[in-house]
Amino acid sequence: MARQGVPAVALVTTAFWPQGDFVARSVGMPDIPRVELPHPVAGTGTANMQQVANSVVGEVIAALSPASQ
Amino acid sequence: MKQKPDTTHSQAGEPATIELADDRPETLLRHFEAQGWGDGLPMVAPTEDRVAAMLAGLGGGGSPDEVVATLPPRSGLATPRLIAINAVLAGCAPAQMPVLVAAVEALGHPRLNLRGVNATTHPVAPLVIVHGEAARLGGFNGGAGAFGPGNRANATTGRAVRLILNHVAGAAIGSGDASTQGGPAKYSYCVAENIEESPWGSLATSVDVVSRAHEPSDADGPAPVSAVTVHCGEAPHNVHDMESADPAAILNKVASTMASLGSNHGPISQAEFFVALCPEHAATCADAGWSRSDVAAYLFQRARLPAGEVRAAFALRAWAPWLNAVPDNELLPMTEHPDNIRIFVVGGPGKHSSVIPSWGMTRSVTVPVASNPGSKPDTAPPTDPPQGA
Repeated sequence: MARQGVPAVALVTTAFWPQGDFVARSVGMPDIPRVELPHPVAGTGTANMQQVANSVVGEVIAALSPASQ
Repeated sequence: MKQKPDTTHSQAGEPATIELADDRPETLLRHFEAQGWGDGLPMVAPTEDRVAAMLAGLGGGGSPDEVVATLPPRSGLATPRLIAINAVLAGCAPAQMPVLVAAVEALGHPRLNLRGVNATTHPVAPLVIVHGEAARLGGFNGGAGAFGPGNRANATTGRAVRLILNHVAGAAIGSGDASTQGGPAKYSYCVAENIEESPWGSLATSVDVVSRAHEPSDADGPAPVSAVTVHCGEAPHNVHDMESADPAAILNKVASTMASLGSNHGPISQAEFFVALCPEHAATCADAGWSRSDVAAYLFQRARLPAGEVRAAFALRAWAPWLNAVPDNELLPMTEHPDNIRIFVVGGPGKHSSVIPSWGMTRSVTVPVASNPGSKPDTAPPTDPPQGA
């Protein structure tokens, strides 16, 4: 998507950040916008996910802004 | 030791050459461990003469540097030469090369979704099923103990697939493979179909066979004599029925094994089951007049859970639209279509079959095995290089 000019950001939890690094390098996009989430997110309940979302929404919007893409 | 090609190839598929102090397995293993390569087990040093002998298993023709498949996540270009290097490392015999190359071709098919297979936290591993004459020529075992140890072709072809995933695709733990627990099938997962004892012929005759150009073959064309299927799933789940004389009783136990909330079949309805019937269970079904598609249809009917139970277990569901209409108090099939239940015959005497659930977001791929001009049925298959090579 990012290659096709669609603003994109990857949400990656702390535990999988190294895999994200590897994949980003592998596809030749080491600087693709990514936002780090605490780990785990899955299975932590709607309330916690809402809290996580609130804590990163600013970063996500910034990453999707023209200056970051 | 002699110079040997290295598996730390670039993405362009060019093997490098390294020199080690000697060719003892300990030296090679120490070097590989330091680089984060290998599967943890000792390997055979891929010297130039061994790699050349392995490539000879393809019978000549074609460039050893022609790209067979592009393997994610690192977009590694798998060539016959790189495949041969990893085949030597794994301990393969040259006669296995046609099957291994076909397996790699299947891994690169978009339908298989190798990027997802390699990246997931699930313990999925590619199961390589060898059909037809290729199994005999390569020395593969589809009989007693076929999923287990004791046969070089099964053990080392499966291992070579894993080494190719690690070294070419970049699917090493910690970088390209995020599997939470891993699994024994990730070491080696290769079996032959027991066509001699299959009452329904080869599974390869009942599925789409993908040509080298990745296009479906002519559905009315002749079935391939040799083929390889790759199905990305879990390790086999045993089904024991020592007592039943009718198909339904056996298949009810198979269906019970399929109907589990622990696999990805609950949330992902497109997922395929591979059901490996032992020859005796298959014979019970066939003797009662059941065809392969009858068995699949019956399992589709029987492998079900209450829809409400599955909905409650999975908030996120990738279901075919029609499954969403099944009321909570009715039974929900564990896959969206009977054709997603692939029946094949494996094993020897006894009454144990197995179910191989899918990872889910993947489809199996069957490709023909290229004929090997050097391996006519009445001639000996290519062999290892002489000792000391």
